[in-house]
Amino acid sequence: MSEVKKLIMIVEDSHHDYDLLKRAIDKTGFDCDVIRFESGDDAIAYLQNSNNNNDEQPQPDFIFLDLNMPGLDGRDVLKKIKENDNISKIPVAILTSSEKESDIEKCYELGANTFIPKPMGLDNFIITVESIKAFWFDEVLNENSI
Amino acid sequence: MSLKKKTHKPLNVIPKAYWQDIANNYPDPVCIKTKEQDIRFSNQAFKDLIESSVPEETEFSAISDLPEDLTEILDGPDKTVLRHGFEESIDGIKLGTDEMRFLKTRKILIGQDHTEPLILMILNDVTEHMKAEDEIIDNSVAMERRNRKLAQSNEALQEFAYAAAHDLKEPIRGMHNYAEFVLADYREDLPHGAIEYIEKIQAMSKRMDVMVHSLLKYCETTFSEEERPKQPCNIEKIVESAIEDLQARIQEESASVQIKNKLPIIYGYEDRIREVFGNLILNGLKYNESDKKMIEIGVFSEAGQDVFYVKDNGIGIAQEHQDKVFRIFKRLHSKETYGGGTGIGLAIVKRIIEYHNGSIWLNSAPNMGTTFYFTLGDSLR
Repeated sequence: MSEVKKLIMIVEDSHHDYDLLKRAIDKTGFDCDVIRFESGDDAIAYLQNSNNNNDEQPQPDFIFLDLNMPGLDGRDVLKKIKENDNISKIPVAILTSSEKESDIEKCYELGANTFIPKPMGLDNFIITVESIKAFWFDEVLNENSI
Repeated sequence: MSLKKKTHKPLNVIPKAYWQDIANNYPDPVCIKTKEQDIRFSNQAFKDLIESSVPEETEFSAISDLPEDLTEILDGPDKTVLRHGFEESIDGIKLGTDEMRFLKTRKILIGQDHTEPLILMILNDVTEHMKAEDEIIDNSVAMERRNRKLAQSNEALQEFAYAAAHDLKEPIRGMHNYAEFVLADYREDLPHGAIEYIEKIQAMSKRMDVMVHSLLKYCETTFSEEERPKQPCNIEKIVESAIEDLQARIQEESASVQIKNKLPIIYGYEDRIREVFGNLILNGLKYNESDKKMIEIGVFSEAGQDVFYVKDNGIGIAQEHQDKVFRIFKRLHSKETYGGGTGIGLAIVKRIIEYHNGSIWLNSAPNMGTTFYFTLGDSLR
C-alpha cells in the first residue's frame, strides 16, 4: 500500500454541494486530502501547472467536477483536462443535477470517467463515494484488475 | 349511338360553317394570322376584344390601330412560333379601363396557306387566375411566417420551462442539504420539536425535488418535437420489456400481468411507447387494493384502427374525476396513499399518445377497475 495520501480535487461552485460531498468522503473513512476550487478557471490554472514532483502543487488522483459553473463550465474544464497529456490520465467524475441524456452523452464523449447525478441527502452520496473509492482506490480491486 | 362512336367520324366531313360556329362560340379570343400580321380569321370573342380596346373615335383596320400594349402582343415577333411551332407568353396590358389585365397568348403554327405559314393565336384573360395564385402564394408565405413564429415561441417556451425547472433544483437541493447539516452538526443541541420540523423541511424539499424532476420530464416530453423518424415498433416486445422493468414490483405484490393477444407492429417511437405501457401498468398496480392484482394488456380492431387497452382490477375512478386524470399534477388521492405519485404519469402518457396522432380514453367505475384504451396512429402489420 502506498504511503502517500491520495489527493482529491473538487471543482464545485455551490457551497452546500461541496459540503455534502466533503462530508460523504469523510463518512466513508477515505483517508485523503481534498482541495477545492470554486471555479473552472481556478481549477485549470492549478492543473496546468501541477506536477507530481512538486510538493507545492501536486497532481490530484481524482477529480469531482461540477457541470454547471459560471465562467469555464464543467464541459470546458473536462475538455481541457483530456486534451492535456500531462493531466489527461486523471479520472474525472462529472457532478450534475441534470439527467438530460444529451448532457450525459456529451460528457462521456469528452472523456468523463463517470457521471454522478447530485443526490438528495448524504446517505445517497456516501454510497456513490464508496463505490468510486472501491473502483479507483481500493488495493484489492486494483490488484485484481491489473 | 355513343358519343365515342360519333367522334369517330372523320373531322373533315364537318362543313366549314360549323367550324365558324365552334370558333365563334369559343369564349376566348382566337385568330389566325400570317407572319405579316394579316388577320385571316378571328372569332367573335376576338372581335369583341378588339372592339373594346380600340379608342372610340378610331376605326379598327389594322393591328397597329390598337392600344400599344395589345399591339405588342398581337403584333409581336413570331420567331419562336415559326421556328418551334409553339409559343406561350403572359403579358400585362391595360384595356379600356385603367385596370391591369393579364393576357396569356398561345401561338401555334397550324399549316401553310399556299407557301405562307399561318399562326393560330389564342388569348386567355388569366387575370383572375393570377390574382388567385398570388393570393395563394401570399397565404402560404403568411402561413409559413406564422409557423416559424410559432416554432420559435415554442422553442423559447421549452427553454424557459426547462431552465426554470432546472434552476429550481439547485436551491431545493440546498434547502435539503442545509437541513441535513443542521441535524448532523447540532442535533444534540436541538429540542425534539425542532428536529421534527427540520425533518419535515427535508421531506418537503425531497418531494419538491421529485415534482421538479417530473416537470422536467414533462417538458422534455411535451416540447421535444420528435425530429427523428418513426420506426417500426414491435408492441409485443415493447410491452414485454415494460413488464420486465416492473418485474420486482410485480413479484413483490404477487400481481399478475398478462398480454392477452398478439400485439401488432406499428410505426412510432419505441422508448416513448414503452413509457406509455410502463406508466399504465404501474398505475394499475399502484391504485389497486385487490387481494390478487390483475392487469391485462391487449388489442382489438375498431374502425380499421388498432385499439390497445390496459385493464386493471384496481380501485377505479369515479365518473366525475375521469376527465381530470390526464391533467398535469392532478392527483385524486392524498400524497400519503397509493405510493404518493406526483400526478404526472398520465399527463405524460397523454402527450406521448397525442404526438403519435392517437387518442386515449378510459372506462372505469369505483371498485370496478379501470381500463385505459388508446390508439397510436397508423399501424402496419
